[in-house]
Amino acid sequence: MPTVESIQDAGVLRVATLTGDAPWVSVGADGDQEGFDVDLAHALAEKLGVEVEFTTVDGPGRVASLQSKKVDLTIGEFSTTPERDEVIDFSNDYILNPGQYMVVADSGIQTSEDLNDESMVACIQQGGTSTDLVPADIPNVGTLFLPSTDDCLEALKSGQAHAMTQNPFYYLPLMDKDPGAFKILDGTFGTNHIAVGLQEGSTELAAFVNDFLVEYQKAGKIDATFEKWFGFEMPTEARP
Amino acid sequence: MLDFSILIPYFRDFVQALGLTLALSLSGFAISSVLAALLLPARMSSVAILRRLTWLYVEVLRNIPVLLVLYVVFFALPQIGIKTESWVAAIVALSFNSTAYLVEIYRGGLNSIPQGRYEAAAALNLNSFTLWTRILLPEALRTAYPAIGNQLVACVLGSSLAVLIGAGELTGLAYMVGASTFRYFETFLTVAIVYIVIVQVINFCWGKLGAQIIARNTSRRL
Repeated sequence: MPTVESIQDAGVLRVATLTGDAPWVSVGADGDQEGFDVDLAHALAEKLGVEVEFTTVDGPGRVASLQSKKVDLTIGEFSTTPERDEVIDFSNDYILNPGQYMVVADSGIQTSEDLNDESMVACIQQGGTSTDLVPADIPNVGTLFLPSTDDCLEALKSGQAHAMTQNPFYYLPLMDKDPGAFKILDGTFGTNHIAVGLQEGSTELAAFVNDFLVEYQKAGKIDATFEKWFGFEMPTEARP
Repeated sequence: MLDFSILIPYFRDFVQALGLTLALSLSGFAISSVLAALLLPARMSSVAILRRLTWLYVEVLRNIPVLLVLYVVFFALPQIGIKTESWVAAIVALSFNSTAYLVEIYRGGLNSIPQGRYEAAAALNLNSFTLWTRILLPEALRTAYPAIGNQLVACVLGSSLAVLIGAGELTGLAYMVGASTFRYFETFLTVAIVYIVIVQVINFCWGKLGAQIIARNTSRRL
């Protein structure tokens, strides 16, 4: 498994990151990865004194690429879960991400209790953490599992789903783009703890990453990159 | 290190998903068999407008991916007020697609009958009901039978596309189980074997059924 020394010897930090998950990570006009998580990966590599080599994966690939030892770290809106923790390791959380329901503005749905009904359908991204959190929060709701968050947005627009189950960081840019179309319900259905994923047993590297995260927060760099990519000040509920 | 035991807790889910796969594909196939039979006279009609309209349907549906039909039924039709659940959308899309193929398979079967049969029937002064039920349909069925079976298999495999609209059939369940156990290899290998078994069973039953039908139709001579 990778250590600080082995990475410095190789001169390159191999990072798995998500595909099309702006503003966390996306591909910029120049063809390079960019985003909140990409800046974090570059800052970490700088502290190590190496270059970053990104591998783009889908949601489940974030675990699989660590399991198959293709990468040293996963940095891509990666939530800690007990199931994931059994097969890989995590750093400390660097940001919190509350799950919220978003509905069509004129749907008449006011609270999450309105959604807790067999006639309602909540759209959930396949393999995402909402898979367990949403049925635990509102057990009666019908569920529709689609491959990506954007498919869920399409389902919400077309009326196939009554609510989507994402987080404010995904919703807020949408609200800007299409004001008055959607409404975020009050309250949360559980908070995702976002951390850096490591291969199982990478204790030494995890300690290095944790030290780095403390510095990154103390220096105010996380606030600066958050505002740069999300376009608003980092909310207090997002701080771990 | 393969460990298939991690799939045991999902056994009931797999049985359910298998049931849904069979339900989607068999209903899609059954509906399209009937629709194709209804469209066939129009496709072979001497009225040009009927012939051209059915030709258009067949060509359009055979020239676009089932996936696209599925997306239109599930995401686009609700915007004009036609809202369907995932499983209904899957059956509708499969039926639309399969109908187009079956019309052509049926037509091919009928076209394979030599002109001499018609002349012989005319010489024997058979009425057209007897001509169709005793001569043309049994003979066309015998030619088209294996191709119809292939279309049934295409419906089973095509039903896996319903994963993209969240119907929860076998392939959909495989993604879900893979994502929660992180055991993709075991999960997909198991599901692949299940598909092979389904198709083999269908092929076997279709062959047996065909032998019966063809034997019955040829022994009942005029």
